[in-house]
Amino acid sequence: MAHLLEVEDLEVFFETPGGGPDVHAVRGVSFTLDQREKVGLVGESGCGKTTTLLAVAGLLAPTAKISGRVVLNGQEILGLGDRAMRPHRWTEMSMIFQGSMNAFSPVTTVGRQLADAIQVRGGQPKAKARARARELLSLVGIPAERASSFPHQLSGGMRQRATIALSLACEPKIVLADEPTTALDVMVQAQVMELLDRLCDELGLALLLVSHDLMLVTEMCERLHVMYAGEIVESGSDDQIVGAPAHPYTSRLFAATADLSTSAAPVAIPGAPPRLDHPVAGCSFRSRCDKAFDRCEHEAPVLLPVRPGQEAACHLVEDHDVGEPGLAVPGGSEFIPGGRDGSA
Amino acid sequence: MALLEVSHLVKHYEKPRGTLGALSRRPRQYVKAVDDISFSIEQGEMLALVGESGCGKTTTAETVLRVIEPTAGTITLSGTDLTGLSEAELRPLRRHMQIVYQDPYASLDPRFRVSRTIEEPLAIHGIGGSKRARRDLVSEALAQVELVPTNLFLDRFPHELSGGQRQRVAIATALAVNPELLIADEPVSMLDVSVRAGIMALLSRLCRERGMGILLITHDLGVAAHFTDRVAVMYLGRIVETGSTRAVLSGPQHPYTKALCDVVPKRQTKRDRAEGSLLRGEADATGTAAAGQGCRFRPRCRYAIEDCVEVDPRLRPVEAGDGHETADGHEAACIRPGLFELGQNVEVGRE
Repeated sequence: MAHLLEVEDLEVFFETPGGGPDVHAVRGVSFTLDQREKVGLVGESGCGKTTTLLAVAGLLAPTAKISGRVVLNGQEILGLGDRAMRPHRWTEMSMIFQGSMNAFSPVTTVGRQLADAIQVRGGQPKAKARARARELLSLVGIPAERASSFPHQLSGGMRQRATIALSLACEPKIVLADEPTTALDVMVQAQVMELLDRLCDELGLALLLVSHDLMLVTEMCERLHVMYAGEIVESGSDDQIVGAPAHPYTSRLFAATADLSTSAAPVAIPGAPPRLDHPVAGCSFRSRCDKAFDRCEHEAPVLLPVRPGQEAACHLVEDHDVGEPGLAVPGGSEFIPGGRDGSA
Repeated sequence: MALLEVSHLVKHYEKPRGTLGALSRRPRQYVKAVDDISFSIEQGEMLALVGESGCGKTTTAETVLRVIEPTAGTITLSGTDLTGLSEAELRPLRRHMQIVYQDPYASLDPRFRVSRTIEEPLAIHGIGGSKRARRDLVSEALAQVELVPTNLFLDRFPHELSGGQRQRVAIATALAVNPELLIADEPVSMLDVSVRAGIMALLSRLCRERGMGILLITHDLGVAAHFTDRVAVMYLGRIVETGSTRAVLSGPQHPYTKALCDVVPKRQTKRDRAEGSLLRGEADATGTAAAGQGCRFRPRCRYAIEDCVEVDPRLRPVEAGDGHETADGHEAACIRPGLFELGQNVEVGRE
């Protein structure tokens, strides 16, 4: 079956100024995105999640060395120049950026900027584009008359809604969202996530969501990929990641997040991710892993199936019997999903 | 005597009414950023002031520091009323109250090495005497925030540090002058989830070990939950619920607190997520709800009744089922007590 978006063995290197070793930011990342599917990429700062997203969108600086395959709707788009990439942007694939303040020009009204995008990309006449801009604002819950507001006149939450409207301007099939709620307070974050969720369902969009907040992503996406030091270290469905994570890193990310549904205080992950300008010997997570043993020192684990639909790159899952769901997973916790009442 | 005693603090800003407005003697209008709030912090205690953007929590913090002048009310630090003091009288007291800002990427001077950043306040307040003595104090402050071995960090520039390390430097800078009160304004909201707990645990430990009082400003109840002793939930300039963290979070009594609890992401899939509890709209400090009479939360409250339009609810002790007040100083400002069960949620709070 053809996927809407297929990323295969993506590698990204950045040159270091001054001739140092290249930074190997993305290391053999593969994943797919189907129609109407919501997929999350999760990991700490510097794990390569945003670089992956930018590589998919063809937005990395020309100095980045990229290899692998990115297939959109059956067409290879990796390495396409700006001009060749243009028909795919906005109409097939659009992006929501992190800093909503910077996504808009400060000197033009929000409505005008929306209309511009529609006019240029969608080839609509001006009057129609303006009407559509107002329609889009209403769609994201902003009163249409705010089309004449400048970005600074909108609250942070409204601005982020407006960037969502912008991303939907030309009816794309895929929306790439890079930390869409990081700068917002939790109440607005919840509102924006709910809006994004609802719009994806109503408009039949596929969503690729990048975030450092694992719990935010599990509440939103059906499939998750956990990234560490440029690699995907665990993939699985929302149920599998929430209920039985197989990689110690995934468990530690859960344990590090404050959760009102458990009385256990969150525990930070000690240390920091390894530098990416040197090859990492063995498992990249081993120095921060409380389950590391001899083998992790010298042998890099590869993604292996844990159970159908779930993979993890950890030596502890190697001897696991595949296909028997419900087995105790090494590194996994005994958490039973079900929220507040189930875990009291 | 409490370390910090804030009593009936008010900060109103006048809305611009323009020349025409002034000439036509249109009545002055005010934005009630902080509207009659009282709270106290003991030595070794961490109080979280929680609320959405625009609820007045940062204004409260800056008023406590006298960075901005209060409209009314008193602020007492270790028995000294700060509100009446001149800038010159205030200066020697400033070392006793320090602040850690939200964004460690903006709060540290990019041209200063870590050692100079931490040393500067020592020099300003004339602490430590000789340069050598000051350097020892700098190392000590770094050790306090767990940036060890300290000689590895002394000569670094901010860009050579991770976000979490930068925030630790900012905390060390505040600690160096040995303050009695530390205000932490969203200290972890710019940081990765994976390091947040480390910073919060550090603040919690420093608070306890040094007997320092900490006022934590946050929009995220999840951050406050496991590391603070008490919480005060603010909405449009008022405290709407307060009490021990354990009491408030295990049984929120104000609909707003309940909503704040509900939006903290949990370890659950979309299917497990409770539907429909999300608050609509935003807290608008300049809007009519903040200015008029009645409950300010009413326009967004699903439990609002007719009386909420008339009655301005004030904090009242929360009563347990048997008619007695609950322990822990639990108070809520809602005219409909008993909307939510007490102790319904998992008990979270500082150990």
